[in-house]
Amino acid sequence: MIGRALEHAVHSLPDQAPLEMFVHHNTLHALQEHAFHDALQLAHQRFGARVYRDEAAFRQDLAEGRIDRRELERELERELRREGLDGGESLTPWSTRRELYSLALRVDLRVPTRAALRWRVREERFDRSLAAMRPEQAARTIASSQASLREFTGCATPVQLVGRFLGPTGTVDRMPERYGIPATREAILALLDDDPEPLVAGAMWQACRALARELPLGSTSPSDQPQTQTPRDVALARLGVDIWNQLHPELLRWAAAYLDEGLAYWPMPGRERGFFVAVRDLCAQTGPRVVPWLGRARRIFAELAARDARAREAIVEALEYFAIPEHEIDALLLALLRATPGFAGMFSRLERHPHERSPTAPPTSLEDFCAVRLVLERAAFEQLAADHGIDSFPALLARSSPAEARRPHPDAYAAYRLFVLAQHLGLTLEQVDALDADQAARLLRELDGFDELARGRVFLEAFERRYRAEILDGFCANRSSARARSTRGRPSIQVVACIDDREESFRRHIEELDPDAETFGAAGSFGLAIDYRSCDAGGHIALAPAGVRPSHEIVERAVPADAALGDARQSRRRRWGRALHQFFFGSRSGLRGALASLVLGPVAWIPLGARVLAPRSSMRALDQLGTLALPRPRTRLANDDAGATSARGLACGYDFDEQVDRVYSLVEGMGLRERFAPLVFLLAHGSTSLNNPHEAAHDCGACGGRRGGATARLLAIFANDPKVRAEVAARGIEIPDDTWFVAGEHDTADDRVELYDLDLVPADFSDALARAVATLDRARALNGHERARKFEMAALSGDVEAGLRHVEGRASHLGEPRPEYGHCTNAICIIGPRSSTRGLFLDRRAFLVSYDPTSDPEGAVLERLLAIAGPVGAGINLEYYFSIVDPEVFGAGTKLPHNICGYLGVLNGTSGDLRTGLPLQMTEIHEPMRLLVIVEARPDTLLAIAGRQPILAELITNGWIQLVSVDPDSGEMQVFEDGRFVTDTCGSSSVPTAPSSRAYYARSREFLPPARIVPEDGGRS
Amino acid sequence: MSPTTLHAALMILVPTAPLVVFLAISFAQLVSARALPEAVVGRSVLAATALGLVASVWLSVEVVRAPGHALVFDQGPWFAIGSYSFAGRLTVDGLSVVMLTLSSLLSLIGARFSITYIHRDPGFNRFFALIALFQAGLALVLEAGTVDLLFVGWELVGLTSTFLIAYFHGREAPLEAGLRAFVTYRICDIGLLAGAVFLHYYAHSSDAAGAWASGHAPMGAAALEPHAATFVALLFLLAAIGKSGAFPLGGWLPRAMEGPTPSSALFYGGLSVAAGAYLLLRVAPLFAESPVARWILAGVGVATFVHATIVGRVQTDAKSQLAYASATQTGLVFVWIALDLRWLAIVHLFGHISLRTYQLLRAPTLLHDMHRRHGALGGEHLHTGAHLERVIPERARARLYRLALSRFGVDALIDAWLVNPILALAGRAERLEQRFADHFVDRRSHADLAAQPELHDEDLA
Repeated sequence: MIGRALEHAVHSLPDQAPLEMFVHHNTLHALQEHAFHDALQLAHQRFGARVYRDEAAFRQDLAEGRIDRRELERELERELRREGLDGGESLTPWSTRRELYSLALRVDLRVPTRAALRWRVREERFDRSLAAMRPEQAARTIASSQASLREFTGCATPVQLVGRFLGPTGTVDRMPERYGIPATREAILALLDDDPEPLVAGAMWQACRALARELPLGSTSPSDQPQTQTPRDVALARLGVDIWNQLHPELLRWAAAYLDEGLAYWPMPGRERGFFVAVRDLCAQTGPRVVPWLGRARRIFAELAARDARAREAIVEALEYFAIPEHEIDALLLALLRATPGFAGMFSRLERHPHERSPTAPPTSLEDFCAVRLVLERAAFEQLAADHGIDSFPALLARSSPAEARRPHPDAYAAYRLFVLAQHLGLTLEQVDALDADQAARLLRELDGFDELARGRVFLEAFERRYRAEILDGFCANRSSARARSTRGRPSIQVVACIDDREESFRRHIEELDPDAETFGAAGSFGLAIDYRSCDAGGHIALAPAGVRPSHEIVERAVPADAALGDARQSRRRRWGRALHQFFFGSRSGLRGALASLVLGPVAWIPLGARVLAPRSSMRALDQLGTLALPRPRTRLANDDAGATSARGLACGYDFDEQVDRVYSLVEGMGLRERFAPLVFLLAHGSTSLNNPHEAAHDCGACGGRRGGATARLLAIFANDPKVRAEVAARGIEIPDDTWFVAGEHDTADDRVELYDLDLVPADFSDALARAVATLDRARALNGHERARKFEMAALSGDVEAGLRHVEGRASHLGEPRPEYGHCTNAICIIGPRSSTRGLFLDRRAFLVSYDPTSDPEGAVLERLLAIAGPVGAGINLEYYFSIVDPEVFGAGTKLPHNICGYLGVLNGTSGDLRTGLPLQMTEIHEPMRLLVIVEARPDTLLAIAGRQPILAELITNGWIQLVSVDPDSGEMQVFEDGRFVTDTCGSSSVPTAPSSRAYYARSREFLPPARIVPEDGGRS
Repeated sequence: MSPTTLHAALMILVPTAPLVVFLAISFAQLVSARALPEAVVGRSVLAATALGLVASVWLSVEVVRAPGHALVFDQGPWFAIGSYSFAGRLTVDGLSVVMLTLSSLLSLIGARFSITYIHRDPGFNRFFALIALFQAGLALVLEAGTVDLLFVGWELVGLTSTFLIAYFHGREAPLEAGLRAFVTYRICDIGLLAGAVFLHYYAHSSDAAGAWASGHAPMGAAALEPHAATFVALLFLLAAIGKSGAFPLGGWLPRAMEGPTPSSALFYGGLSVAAGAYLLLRVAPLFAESPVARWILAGVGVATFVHATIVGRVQTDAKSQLAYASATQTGLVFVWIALDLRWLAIVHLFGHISLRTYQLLRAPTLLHDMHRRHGALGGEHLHTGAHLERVIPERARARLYRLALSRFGVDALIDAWLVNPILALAGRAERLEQRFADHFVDRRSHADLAAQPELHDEDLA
């Protein structure tokens, strides 16, 4: 029973690994079996979270044309169909449902809070003018109402006048205050002639208020009520005391102490026996005696310790104490665990993925966490009950709750919305007067029904539709002109980069610089999955896509000639490491801390000042100092293909067949079957940044959130082996002898490119290598410059070097919480040959996967590519989506108060729960929308693949990604919508062109639609 | 300009420059609906700080060139009541310039750090205005020639500290932490105020020359009767305990890390908490007169040291750890002052502040640093906690750990013995007053308005 409840709970807890191996994943992964919009609705109900972008932002887009008015209407039509509603049905004589909904999209018709309404009346005096009405309509309304009001005033009694102009609760003496005139017929008539608008508007507003009092009041948000009542909720409602205020600090302190990976000098004693037993035994011993509820906790723990009771027993006993009926246990445990999602999620994650911790770490179990929580919950509740003279939880439950659901105010709920509605519909006073209570109630009910979620759905779909049309137009135009271009001779260089959206610009710049260069995109693990240990690493790291456990172990070693140098470096580094370790703990301790303060302290401001005031130069100086003190030996990756098994039980390298296999599938997958350039670069990527606990989130997702360099390096070794090439040739792809593979790593934060094993490059290639390195160097500068435009602090200048310096400065700055914007703004994934996208400016928003449909009739290669690119891309995209739409629930909030806890995660300040998701500084310029996956393959091929790959099928059919099929031959485009492919027309609008990327993005920080880059010198690229 | 007027100008400049910037930013915020651009705000604070740094360095050079003489800017008696006189006097001596230079330097670094760190945060201008005000307050504390002036700066430092702890006012934890710090400051500042008053009473002035200094600070000697010295010294000690987060009132210090990292670094890594130690150094001649006060000061120092060092060792998050490390060293500095080792205390304080500020500003980089360290060690696992295991028997260890994790319940103790009784008393007093007032006020209509956040019809009519 309890086991099952905990299993259920796991799905509702965040599934985030410790920060150092952060891999993006769909925040709502557990709800992926539902359709996208349904899952969002569920998440909204369960977590009380925002799930769509703010409506104000959508309306802003509507005003700026980033949402098309007609497309919005079309999406509204789809929404009506989905809900089975008739858009043409008239709700009142003067509006249909479609018109009403459309109005609700364009105008804010939410029920205002009372404070907001009061402000609008008192400060803005919105009820004394028809400001929301279109001017010509307002003039008409005023003119017609003026006449009828004149007539009415002429023969009205004072009571009637008050009712008309001051509403149901008005009194005569308020007339001057409101309209500045006494409540006499003459004064009103005079004002009607003079300036009728306040009186007309006032009369209309009061008519709405009078009507509002005849209406039933709907509840504004029925779903906000939590379904499960924990003992704390009950106590809070009945007694007004929140036991979690005292319970959470205690619980989280223990949890943090238990999970700590070595930040604290003194590790928690007895951790090896598990969380529950360790806490039980420690708490049973002693405790602060002045806190009564902790005294109770101690007694319970002592009693449990006396009979060596385990977690399960403690849970059962606590549930018995609260007398929870069996069918409610599930929901209760979930509600309790959800109260501290960060730590509960971390316990559950580490329980399921024990390899994500150091091997010496103690066992972790969600059940233990739950047990400690329940014991503390019980102790706190017992104390509360004792203080308030309550026998038991059921007894408290039986008490009536003093707080009843607060009913909305008629003015806020009905009058305000009717008044705004009347203005937008251009009604006259008579029409408002003629409105009866049933009609008004129906209008409001309809508005309530078309709630924020429904509007969010429509807005999001319309936003995506506009964006999709732009991209497809650009893609279409570029693709058809690419067809016209003929294949040229041998390329000068070929660069294989990761499919990552951040490499899009880098590849584009390489191609712009060297029209004979070609670039490819392949997942950054290059088809390998290794447990890798570099010379300078503290241990092995898994370089493999999430969910894949490597079966090969690769170690970096110094070459024999440099062995002595390597050893010297090693031992110096060890000594340095020990000194750092001593300093870290020593400076924080008592007497050694005093020594550190007296000896090092007086000069500590020098490095601090240098690092903060001159980040880039001081970083350089430090690097140079490091190179001087620790000369680097030449190294090689040891790939022992003899089939030996390492001490960790993994193969010590790939054997010959596997090497051939990996090389073949990489080049085949990219469609690189012929025309090899003399130099083929394999560029993995990683990111180096300071002031960034989420540093790993910027590393390569295909390498499990790590720096990917070693995989490229290893694959280059395989590909340069003549024996491997011979075997690959036997399989049909001939790599010529005058081709050499060079591996490297692109740092996406400071845009540095590091190349490996250059000493192995044969002398014949030295000229080509020098040229290629120069191209890469210039491309990185251009890339840095293009990136800088997104940072508000970078000047918008045309100076390429300044842009590069800016991004380099960011990566080395201690006080820079945005070293790079990472995957921010990602929106597209294109799987197809580069020729279709070459020369298309995609604004660093596209994952680009190289794929050649002509040599893959069965779709076998595509299946392999999609199986990685789909989930990885969707994971990144959806994590950004949720982290920005609700930065507090799904995201980690602002980074400014973040504080690293136990090397596992971050806290806000020094209290509270671990924060999961992405911080605001990573996501702030992201536009939340679903990934648009464009694949050059026929719909039937895609459907067949989806049929074989359940994960892809889920993503596609449930609408977590938008899929577009492009026919490889005809170029016809079909969008997967509502369960089937529908033809999409493209080429409806013209695509801008520019002579170079730099010219196109110059002086702009905004998002740019795709453009074709056509060089002025005849368009060779 | 003669050297004396130049000195005077520089001495006035140090606190005034940031104060002017604070006033300008705040005024601009008040009168204009549009926020000032970040670049303007950031640069003006940076400029004021740089100006302060230049002035401080200049003053230090002057002090070093003429050892044994303090630079004094004296406006004569500001006002006098009977035989009590209040001087408007700034004094810069050896102790001042050391701290002044350090504080300007660290403020400059902190401000530069914050320009990128706080960038795009909605509270950017508020943050920088508060940092400027803090600098003005701290400079006033350091340059004050009388305790009265020092009190003004002291209050500014406390106030800005409170507001910066509660910087994120959308969440509850920062507000609670800010309130806790504020209340602690309020209670302890009674000590400083009363100290100033009694200094006037006993010595008829509160400036250095009149009250105690025969000799150049920090090596002066007081001229008060021993019992008066004890009494006044203990009042100042109370003030210092609150500001420095010393035992037993240090509960606010780890909680104060709720604010943005750079303000935590500037305030609680060093400068603000050091103000307590600075005050004690200023009035060290009083302590030198009074063995009782020295014993008590030493006791507070040792207790702070022991408590913070043990509790700090079990902290699992970067900032709490550093908060306790900071408190540990402050405790030691108190001990040095009690032993009358003033120069040792100054050097220790200086080193401790700059080291701790460095570590706190690096706290967001901790994970990165850990990886580097781990890599350098080649994965070798270095055992920590060994010397605790040597010193403490196993049975006691578990108990000590448990107590350390709950911070020895000091806060709970204070709550139970002090806060709750006072709150209960206040509650009773309030009810009494209410009953009394009810006789005069028609409570019904009043209560309706206060109790229900209802939208009233008459509001809208």
